[in-house]
Amino acid sequence: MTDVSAATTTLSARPFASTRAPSFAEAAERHLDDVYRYLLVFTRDASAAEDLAAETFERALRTWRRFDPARASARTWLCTIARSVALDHFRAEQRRRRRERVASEPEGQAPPPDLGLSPKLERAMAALSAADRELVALRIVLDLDTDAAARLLGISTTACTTRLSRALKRLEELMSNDE
Amino acid sequence: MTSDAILAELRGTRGAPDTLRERVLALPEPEPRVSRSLPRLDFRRFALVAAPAVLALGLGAAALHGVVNGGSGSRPVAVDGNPPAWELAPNVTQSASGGGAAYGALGLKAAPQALSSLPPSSTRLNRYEAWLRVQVADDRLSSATTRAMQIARAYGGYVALVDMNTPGNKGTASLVLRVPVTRVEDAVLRLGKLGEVKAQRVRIQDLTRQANVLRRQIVALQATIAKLERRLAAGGVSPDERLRLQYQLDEAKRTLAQKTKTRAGTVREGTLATVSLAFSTPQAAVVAPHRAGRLERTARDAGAFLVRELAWLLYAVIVLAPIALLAAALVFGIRTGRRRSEQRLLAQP
Repeated sequence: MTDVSAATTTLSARPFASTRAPSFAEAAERHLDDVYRYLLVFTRDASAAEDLAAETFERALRTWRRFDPARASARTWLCTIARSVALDHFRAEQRRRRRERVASEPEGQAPPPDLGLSPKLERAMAALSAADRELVALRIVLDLDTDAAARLLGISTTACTTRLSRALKRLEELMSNDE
Repeated sequence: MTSDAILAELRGTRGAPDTLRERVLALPEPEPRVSRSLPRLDFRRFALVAAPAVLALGLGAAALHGVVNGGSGSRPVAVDGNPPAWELAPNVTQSASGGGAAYGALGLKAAPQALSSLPPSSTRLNRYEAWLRVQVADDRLSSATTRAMQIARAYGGYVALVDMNTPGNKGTASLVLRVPVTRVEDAVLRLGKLGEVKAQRVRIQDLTRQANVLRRQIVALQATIAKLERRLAAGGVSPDERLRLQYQLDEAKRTLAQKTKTRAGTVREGTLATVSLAFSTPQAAVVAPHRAGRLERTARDAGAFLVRELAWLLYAVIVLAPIALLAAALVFGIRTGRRRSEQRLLAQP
């Protein structure tokens, strides 16, 4: 079995996007899948990921004038907006769950996620915390380099690497236990 | 399942559905971006450039200030607070003052042979005050002081005050001598010969008019007293009138005594001159400031300007530091709170 930490360190950093500013349509077409996949893994809710992705691009459209390709690639910038949108979503969900708990209403069964993964991997992903899933989404699914991911999450590169390593080990353990 | 397989499968997470793609691609193209006329400032890079620039600017301003102002020599000031002796112009001015004429100060250059004195008037009553600063050799301070006292007594005067401070052979001595005005000119000349006269000041104030006014008042009071005494002695005065006359007589006598005493003091003032003498050894004497060259003055002015700049900077730091600290603490607190809130939010599956 390949060592997970070794595997993570061999992830190649995607070369930084050209400083030429792409048009919004170009950025949307090129990075829509990345934004959606990030949100899908992060939220584990296909419907929510779709809505959040749409909201992300609407917000990006409004703030497109502020985008500076010299400071970050369009993908990183869009992911930053997506993260903000997702956090708002999580907060709203937390408030909703709290209200439901106060009203003693039984919590509805969460819809089965549809990440396009094997059921075993989806179950393992479900057992991870949202923070770990987010890191996996950014570093593995989107193949974002450590610096960009750390900057996006507001943590150090060391913390980013350590947390990813732990998350992948846990994922591996969960899948081994599931066998 | 191997790690590679997990990673490969994760990378194969499905992409955006067509409905989302259509929805996003249907968004209108935003207005064209306005190109930034100025590059965005990176704080670290800015600080890296700004700090040396500010330092260079401060040093440059100090150097410029030194070059511009260094050429004009600054006014030397003696260490004892008095204007330096070489700056005292030898002038004698006369102005009306109170009861008589007042003569201005006489200053002399620091040359022993320059000693001179203003002769007091032989026909009028003068208040004569002289001040001398004399430099003597290290081992001659004590003997010069003794000699000065002897001179005062020799001219019929006395020593009002002696204050001598002699750590080793060096030191200072201050004397206040009272010498008859009629002989003060000679006394001053002899006192000046005890050493090297570094500075001299003479002040003469005419007291004749003041003394004459007092004399007239005394004569008038004496006449009043004689008249009152005659009326009291004549008799035929009612008890009340007698009491009133007696009170007036007592009051006139009291005023006469006071005026007589004042006039005696004035006459004494005009009889005895006050000579203040300050002896010092070369080390203790006021040293003329070194006349700095242009380069030295430039460097000194630049240094002084730099010190002022540092003082302003320090002041600004003292004033702004608490505000900056509070702002930093606020920002740090907000960021920490937000991060913890996010951590709690994302800690759940």
